[in-house]
Amino acid sequence: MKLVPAIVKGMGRTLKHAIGTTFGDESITVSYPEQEKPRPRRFRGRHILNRYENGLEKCIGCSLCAAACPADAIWVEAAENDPQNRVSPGERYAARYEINMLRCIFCGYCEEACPTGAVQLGYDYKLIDEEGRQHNWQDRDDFIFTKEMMLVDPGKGKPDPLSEALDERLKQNPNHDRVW
Amino acid sequence: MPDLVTVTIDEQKVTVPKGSLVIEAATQIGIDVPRFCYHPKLSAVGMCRMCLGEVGMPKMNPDRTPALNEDGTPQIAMMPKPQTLCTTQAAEGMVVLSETPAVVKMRQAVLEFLLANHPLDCPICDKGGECMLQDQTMAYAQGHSRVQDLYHLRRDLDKDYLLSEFITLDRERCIQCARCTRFLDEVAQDPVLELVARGSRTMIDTMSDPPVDSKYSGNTIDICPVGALTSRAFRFRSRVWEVKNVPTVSMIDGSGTNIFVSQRNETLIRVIPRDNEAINECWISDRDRFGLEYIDNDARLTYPLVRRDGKLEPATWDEALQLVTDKIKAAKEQRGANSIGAVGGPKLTNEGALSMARLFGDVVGTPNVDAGWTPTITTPGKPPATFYEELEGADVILVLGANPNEELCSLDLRLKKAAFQRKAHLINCNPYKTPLDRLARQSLIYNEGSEVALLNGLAKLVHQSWTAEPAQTEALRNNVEGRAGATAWIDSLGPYSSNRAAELAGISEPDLRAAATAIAGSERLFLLVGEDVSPAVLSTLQNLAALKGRSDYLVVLHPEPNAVGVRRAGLAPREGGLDGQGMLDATFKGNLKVLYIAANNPLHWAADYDLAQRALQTAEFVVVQTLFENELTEHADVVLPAASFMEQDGTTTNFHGKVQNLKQVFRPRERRDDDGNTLSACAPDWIIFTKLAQLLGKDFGYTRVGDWTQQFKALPALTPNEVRFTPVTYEASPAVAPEGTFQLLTGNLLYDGGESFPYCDRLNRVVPEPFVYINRADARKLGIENLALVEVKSARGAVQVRAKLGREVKAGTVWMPRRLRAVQVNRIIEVDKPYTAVTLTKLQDAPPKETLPADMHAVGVGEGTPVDMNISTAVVP
Repeated sequence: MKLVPAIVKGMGRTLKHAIGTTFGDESITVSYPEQEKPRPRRFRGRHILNRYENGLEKCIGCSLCAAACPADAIWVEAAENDPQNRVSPGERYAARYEINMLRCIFCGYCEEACPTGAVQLGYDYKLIDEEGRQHNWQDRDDFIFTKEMMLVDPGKGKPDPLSEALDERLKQNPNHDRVW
Repeated sequence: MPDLVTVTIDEQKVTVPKGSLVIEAATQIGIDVPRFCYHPKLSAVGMCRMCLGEVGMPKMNPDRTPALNEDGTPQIAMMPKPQTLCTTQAAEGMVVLSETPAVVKMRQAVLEFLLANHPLDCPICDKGGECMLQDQTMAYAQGHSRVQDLYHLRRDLDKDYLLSEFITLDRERCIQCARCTRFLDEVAQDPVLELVARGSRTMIDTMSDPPVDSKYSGNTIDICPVGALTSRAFRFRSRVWEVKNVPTVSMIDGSGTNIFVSQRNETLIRVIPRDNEAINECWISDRDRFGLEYIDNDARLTYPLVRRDGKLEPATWDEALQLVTDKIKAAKEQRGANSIGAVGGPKLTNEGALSMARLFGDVVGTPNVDAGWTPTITTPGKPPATFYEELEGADVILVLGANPNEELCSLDLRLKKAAFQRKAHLINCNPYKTPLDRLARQSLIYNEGSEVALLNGLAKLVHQSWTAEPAQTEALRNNVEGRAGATAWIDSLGPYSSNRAAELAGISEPDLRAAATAIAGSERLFLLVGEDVSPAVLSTLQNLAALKGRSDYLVVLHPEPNAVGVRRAGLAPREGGLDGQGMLDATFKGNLKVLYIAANNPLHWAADYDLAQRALQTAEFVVVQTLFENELTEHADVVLPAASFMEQDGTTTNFHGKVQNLKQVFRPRERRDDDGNTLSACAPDWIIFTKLAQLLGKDFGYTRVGDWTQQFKALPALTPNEVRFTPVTYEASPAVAPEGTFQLLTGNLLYDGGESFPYCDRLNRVVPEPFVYINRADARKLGIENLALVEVKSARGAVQVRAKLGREVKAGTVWMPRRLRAVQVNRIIEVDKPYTAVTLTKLQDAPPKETLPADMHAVGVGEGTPVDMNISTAVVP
């Protein structure tokens, strides 16, 4: 006879959620693609490349992301900065920065290896571009994302203490000839 | 047998020769003592303090007997303070502890101090990944710093202080180990870097002009334990772990330098040395390091060219090879095989040269085959297999008519080592001063053409020492008596008394006597001779070598990479055939119809430029196998694109006969369409020759390069020199230079702006402007000042060059590099005369220094902020 109150109690909980999801704001299903669920703060989506507040790129072309990448998906070629026409602070910048999204396993090791907080795994999981357009997939080469496709405007990156500290550091270095 | 001592390092016993350093002994038993400033090839200075260890010696009783513990082991008295193991010599009974808690703590402290002044910019540092400081910080540092924000004396110093065209210095990163300065002082003997200022402001800098003017400066990049000295050519090209290092051998000069070529995505990233104690130790020359870029250049030929209606047009391999085959067949049918000539070059691999020799010698059947345009002497015997080891152990080394500094870089370093570190008696004989004179115990600057008189005089003096030194008499007598031609030779020496020989050679008699005394008293004599001397001089040297019983220690120095190998492969005139010079003559006269030139250029290397040009113009059909379109291909009817030594497997022979393997680094250079499909590619020489043989009706059946290598290795081996004496008499050249003229001397220059230089961006910038060395006294008489523009005029032609005054040449002679940029001495030299007389006319005053081209004065120096020499202004916040 002890079972009866337990069943009633359990069915009561079921009924409560049934009503809550149907009539209340307890809804779990979202009507994608019109609606999207919010991603957690540490979500690992498609990569972005950050900039400093003054527009200089954070990436210095050090290839540590490529070294850390377990899928060998990143290709970096560095070049020397022209002090008159800087791409990044310091002496070195990434002339070429490409990620093969077919190879990438979105593990986030690149973000972890990055000494300047330049590369981050963003919130986009649909591989759309910054204007929200779907990337035009024609062949395998289209899955190689270039630097231009991944660069975002200053302040649009994920919140990150290292990245913010470097923003501060750059302000103290008006010539931008040092990174750290 | 040297004295041996036994030391105990971390409870392991090791026996080493007396005088060895403890750090060497530790390395021998696999104990890794951390170090920055210590380098096995350099003197020990103990500057970095990283190799500190605890050292103890056996205690002695007052009666000088070892004090023993109760259990009978010797009592050890540890020194109160730690010692640097790189400067402590091993001694009998010494006890070394390299891993005690105190030592570990001291290492941590040393690293903490080093890192206090070292920027942590490893991600943008070219050394990152192969940096000793990085590695040892990971291995030995404590992980945090207590002084990081207290001392930053070096912060804000220059990050990119240009030391030379090749090297840049990051002043923040330097840890003052003095490896670079010691290398340049001791090994390269070019003291062009120095530590300046004192205390924590100590900094390396150059005072030389042009800056860091050493042919070996690139090695400082390798031995720098941090990223302070970095290569400007490699700057930010790649991270060191991303490249594939392919071991191969440099075919830039005759040394056969062992290198690693770093390759990434089929592009050449950098060239670094590969250790080989038998050849180049761990050093390479800047020519090897920065001079191989030409291989990875878009100007490379990737498809054959065929002349149609007077214009060279791209063609397929089948077309081009078929055309060559048809022409060879036609010429052979109409005028016989003798109307075909083939000249290879020393840049061919052994396999390329062998296949060429077999193709033209056996298949085409022409005797006209050669490997060059001028007759060259070759090493008569078989040089010792351990050439450099024996050279370093030599007590007397005679160098004649050669300038290794400009010709054979690894030999140059070994000679410097032999003379400087091993104190060998170096006798340097040249018609002009060479850099080796600084180290030579004796430098005999003789009159050009008087080598025979000089050597006969030397031989006579050595021979006369029979009676003077009874100890040597026996040995000398054994070497001479009963040998072929000995008596006739001794008789022929009669007229060469020391006075007369010295007078003929234009040197002082005491110098000649001193040289003879050294040679007479030597036990391990070495004779090195340049390849440009006449065969008569070689015979004289052979006599001298035979007299000392060192026939196999007479070695000819070939500056070109595979000069020995191509001749051994059979690129030499057959019975009744013409040599290179003869082929040019015959072509000009119309007797030779088809000329096949592979890896060579008569316009640069023939003795007479005009003859070469006329011959090429008259030739009916010229085939050129080359890497680039150049002056020569303008005369060609078919141009075949050849692969460089980095694009093929194979073997090469260096100047002392050592055969080494080449390994393919790149695919043969290709031409591709927009979609990346290969349209055509260059091909290794051996493939071209094997295919041609096939088309001419002979299938060698060789499909792999290894088949040719096997054939090459099956060639008869070099035989030891036959000991015999040949009388050689000196015939003075008919007349001294007419009044007002100068005798023109020539020689090689390493940075000569030759064929590959235009495609080596950085190296091309250090090629000097064409110049002529004039004796200071002569110049004063003519009113020519340093760097004035002068015209050097012979009976054949004139060139305009800058005058460089000095004591490099004797009065009455001038010296010009054989070839420098567009100025080629073979345009003015008079081939049929014993020497060329030239006149000098001043055209322009020396320009002000700042208007001179960059190679004439310092580049880059002073572009950074100068070092603050005043220690009192050092910043301590």
